[in-house]
Amino acid sequence: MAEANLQNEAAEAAAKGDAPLLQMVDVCKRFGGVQVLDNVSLEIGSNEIVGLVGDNGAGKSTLIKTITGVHLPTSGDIYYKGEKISIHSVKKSRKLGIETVYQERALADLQTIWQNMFLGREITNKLGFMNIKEEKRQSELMMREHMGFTSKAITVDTEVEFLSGGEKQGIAISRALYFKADLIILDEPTVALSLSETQRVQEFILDIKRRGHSAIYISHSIYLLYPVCDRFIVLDRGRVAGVLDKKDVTQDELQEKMVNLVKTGVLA
Amino acid sequence: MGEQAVITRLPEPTFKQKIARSKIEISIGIVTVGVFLVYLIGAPQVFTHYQIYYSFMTTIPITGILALALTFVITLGEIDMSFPSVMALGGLTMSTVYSNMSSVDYFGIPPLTLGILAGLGVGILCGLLNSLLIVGFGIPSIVGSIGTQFFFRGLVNVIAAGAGISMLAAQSGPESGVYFALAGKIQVTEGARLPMQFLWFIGLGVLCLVIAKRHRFGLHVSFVGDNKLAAQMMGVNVPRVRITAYVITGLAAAFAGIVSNLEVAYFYPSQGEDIMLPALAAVFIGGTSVLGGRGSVVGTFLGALIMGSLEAGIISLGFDGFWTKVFYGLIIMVSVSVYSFVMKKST
Repeated sequence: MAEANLQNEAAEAAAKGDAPLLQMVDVCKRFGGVQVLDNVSLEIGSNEIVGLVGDNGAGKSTLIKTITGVHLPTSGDIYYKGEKISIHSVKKSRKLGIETVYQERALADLQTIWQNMFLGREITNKLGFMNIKEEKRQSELMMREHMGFTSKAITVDTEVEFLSGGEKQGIAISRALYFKADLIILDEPTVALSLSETQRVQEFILDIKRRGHSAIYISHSIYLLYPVCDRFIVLDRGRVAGVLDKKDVTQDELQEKMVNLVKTGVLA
Repeated sequence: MGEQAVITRLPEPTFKQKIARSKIEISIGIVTVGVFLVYLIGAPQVFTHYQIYYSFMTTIPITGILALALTFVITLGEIDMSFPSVMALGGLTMSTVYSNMSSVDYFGIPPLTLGILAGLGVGILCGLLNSLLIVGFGIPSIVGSIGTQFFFRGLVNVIAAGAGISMLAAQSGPESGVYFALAGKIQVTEGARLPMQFLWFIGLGVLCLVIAKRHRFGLHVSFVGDNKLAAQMMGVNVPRVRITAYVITGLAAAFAGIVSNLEVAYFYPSQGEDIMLPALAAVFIGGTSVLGGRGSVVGTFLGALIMGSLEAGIISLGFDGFWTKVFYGLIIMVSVSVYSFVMKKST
């Protein structure tokens, strides 16, 4: 009964257009005897970048995998655009518009840019033959329009191995934007990158907001998260320790709070 | 919509970019032309006559069809060692069904056709058993397929009990048309005949090329071989791609076995035992990387032409037959070294 009410509320909210993009209600995840997520409730609004912070083992990775359909929650509900979802697979979550950008692993190096852009979403006829011309044309569009690639040396036929780490992440983010992902999950996207490359990726992340989409940005580094995020969700040992608005906290304060949290177990 | 209209046409790739994109095919193309030039110059008395090419067109397709299918498995970064035995099992199935059912029409299908279908079906089953071990149980492909290689060959030995089966009757019976379609000879001019299996080789080569370049499956094979995790994360059904590749190899091996049986009108239990290394070598000298992610169907096709012509070529050039393997070895060593060099230079 209670669930039905909640569902109705969510549906009404969706109808009014003010439902959060993503809502998690009392989500728990247990692996064997280990409680990795403990009654996590959170919201991601539309057109906002939310930083997910927490020490190693806080449950960030499990939380993300629960959103993207890699894991099913042990209990609790997830709502997407006001509708309750039971995501069973990565494929289904992508269909809903949730896309993940991983470290450097999401592109295949020996294959060309256009092949990577459309991987798993090829434009094909009924027999599975690809419309290569159209895929290349749209990839070209993505590169020039979304990413600002103007170099003549890099074309859609360039193999990904010739791109820098930042450019690769750019491709992964543009791919997500191009396929209308409303919620892009950035899982430590700059881990393996140089400083200048990291800066490029930061620009790509700002672009997500500029284009009206939302993102969850995971990083160990507050100084990377702070400039691009609107809000911060602090995770500690599987629980949400607190949610902070950027306007209420400076970068140094946030950093300090995180250090204290590790020491004392309290977000203060 | 307005955004989409900005780019209506792709910039034409420059000549240099076109060359760079096909460097493997160009390298193996040059080697092939070079090898045949050496034959022509060194043994014009043999290589200016049609007979030697007729002989090549009869024998090369068997190795070639196997190599075409193996290209997919190797591009996956895996290997199938069982295909020589699958070849024999396919041939045995066809021959046995044919010789035992000659008086009865099962399901209204005449015996040779039934035998061929059964042989191809067994090839698919062999591919599925490989998949069960390699994809299902996660056994490394080289280990799993060595196991099935022995197992399939063992089945052949047990069922055939060391004896061969004659297929001579099929050449002239009511199903001679089926026979002709697989291993017949087309009289092109008075002195020149064209073996049907060569047409199959070309046809299947074109089919594999189109699948590799333009079909989703070919693309997914390259991605799985290159970066399995990325392919999986982007929604590629990795197990299905791998299973399909093993089934294609099983099917092709059975087909090659059947054609080879019909060509000599005889099944023999040791069939295929000498074909494993030439078929694999054809794939590797064709530029397909054993590390996966990069394959070339055109390269395999040309590689099969080189591998299949070497023995006759070397003997025609006046070398003793004992030299054959030395040249096999040299060609393989040189070509894979060239690829290693060419691919490194590009990065």
